[in-house]
Amino acid sequence: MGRIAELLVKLAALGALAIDPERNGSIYRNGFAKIFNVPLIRVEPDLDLETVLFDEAFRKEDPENSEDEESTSKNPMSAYLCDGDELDPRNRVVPDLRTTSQRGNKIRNFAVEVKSGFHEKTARSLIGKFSAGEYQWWDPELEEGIPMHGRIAALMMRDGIVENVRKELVDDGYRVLSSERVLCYLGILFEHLGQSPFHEAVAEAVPRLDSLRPILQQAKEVVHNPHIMMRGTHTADRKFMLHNLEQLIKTLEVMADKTRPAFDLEEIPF
Amino acid sequence: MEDRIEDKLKGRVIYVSNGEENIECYRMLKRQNEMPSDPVVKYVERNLHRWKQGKLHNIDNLPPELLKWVYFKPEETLFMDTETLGLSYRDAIFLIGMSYFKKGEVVVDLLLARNPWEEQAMIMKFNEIASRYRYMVSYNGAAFDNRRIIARNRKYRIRWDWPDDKHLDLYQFIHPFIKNKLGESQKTSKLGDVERILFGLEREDDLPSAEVPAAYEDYWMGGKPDKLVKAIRHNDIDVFSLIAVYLRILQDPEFIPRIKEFKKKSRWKERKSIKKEDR
Repeated sequence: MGRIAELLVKLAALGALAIDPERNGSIYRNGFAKIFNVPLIRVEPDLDLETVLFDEAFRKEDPENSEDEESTSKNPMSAYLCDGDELDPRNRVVPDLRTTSQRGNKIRNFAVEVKSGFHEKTARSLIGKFSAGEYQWWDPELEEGIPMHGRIAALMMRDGIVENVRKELVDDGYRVLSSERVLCYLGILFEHLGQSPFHEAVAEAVPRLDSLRPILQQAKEVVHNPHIMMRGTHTADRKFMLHNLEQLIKTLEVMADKTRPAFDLEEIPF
Repeated sequence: MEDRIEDKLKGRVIYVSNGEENIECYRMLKRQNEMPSDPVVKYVERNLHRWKQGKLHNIDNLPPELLKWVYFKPEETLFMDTETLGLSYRDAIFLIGMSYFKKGEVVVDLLLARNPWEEQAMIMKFNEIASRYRYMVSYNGAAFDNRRIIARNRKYRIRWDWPDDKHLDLYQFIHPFIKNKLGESQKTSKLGDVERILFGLEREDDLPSAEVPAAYEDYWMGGKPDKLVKAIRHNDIDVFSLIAVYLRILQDPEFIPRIKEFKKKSRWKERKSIKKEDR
């Protein structure tokens, strides 16, 4: 369930990158631009070999802690506490996604935490996660830390829960992205993906679906009825959902690279 | 390139309303004359008109009260078999095969969920078709298929039930009769064993039951439909064989003692349920 929620947010973010049907950036103005207050969102790929090598290098330097951290150290999302100019390998957080946004020449990096389920305490578990100080990702090419400019809590939960915890999360420094918004933008995204020039690539990615509408329907179930979706009777539904999301994301990652917006980002009004 | 089930098997997409929207599944209809010519199909062709007229040997030679649990009229009877993703009650159904009597001939009607999200439409269509019939005949359906369909209906918040007294489970009827003819290590009989013992039919190029769920998953993950096609053909032979086995029970004098015995068991069940109500 958690993985499905993460992939839904990732799909929505990637979709905003891939789609620009009019080549005038309208989807950015109307879509994620408004949510994040930035015109361009890029979601990092799940696996980055160079980041893994970086983690291993850290482990060599600090063999005492290497075994404890083995389970998480290979995660390319690992962000490290920044102590002056140095990154501390023992103080790590692992956000679910990382986004890069750009406005003009100004690039900003965000950590995205995705939460699903039906308990407010699940969303509240994010509070205090980044309170130790400033965190940075490591860029193995530049051999320097990438600053984390902000963090986003994407809550794929019922509206009531989102509203109950919104203030606490905002006070803790998060920008809150509600499930209502994600579902709304998934709807817009699927409408575009069903049309030319995306239709062919999408049909190839999810050959057993005639339309993307059932994915949106299942996404609504993940948000509104998670306690039902996680039942054993829904195993096949979840498996099929995961498969389709993974396939779509793979396709969108390629499309997002190919379809950079043909407009000047600085001209977009906010 | 033929990589969709629709390209391999003739049928059409059907739409069912779930109250909010129209949902779809795939339906394949096959007439009797489209079935392969084998001993099972020939047996049905030879005896179908007798069943229609109520002239089968055991019907003529047994009093109606003994036939109560076994003999149903053709237009009241639905033969059914399902293919599922596992043996647990939680596992999904992806194919419901039915055969019934329509306009003087047997029709094989298969409902396929081409992916797990089409299961609801398939189940709802099955409920609609089943509601036209009074009796159901299956192979191990009382313990498995019927219970599974009830469980899957519940998943979609649909109230559906099929009472056991309107259901003839051919496994319960025929297994005690043929168990001596099975291999020593074999404790249960499959429909394929019944076909072999009663009709001398050996199935060729059949997909083993254990491989069916994997074939289906492979298909909706984007794989080729060849194995799934085999599973579907296996099911359409199954639902046709159910009619042949049923007619054999009503026609073959060898089954008269079993019909009498089966009646006793059913009456015991009836008495038990009456006692339960009395309490």
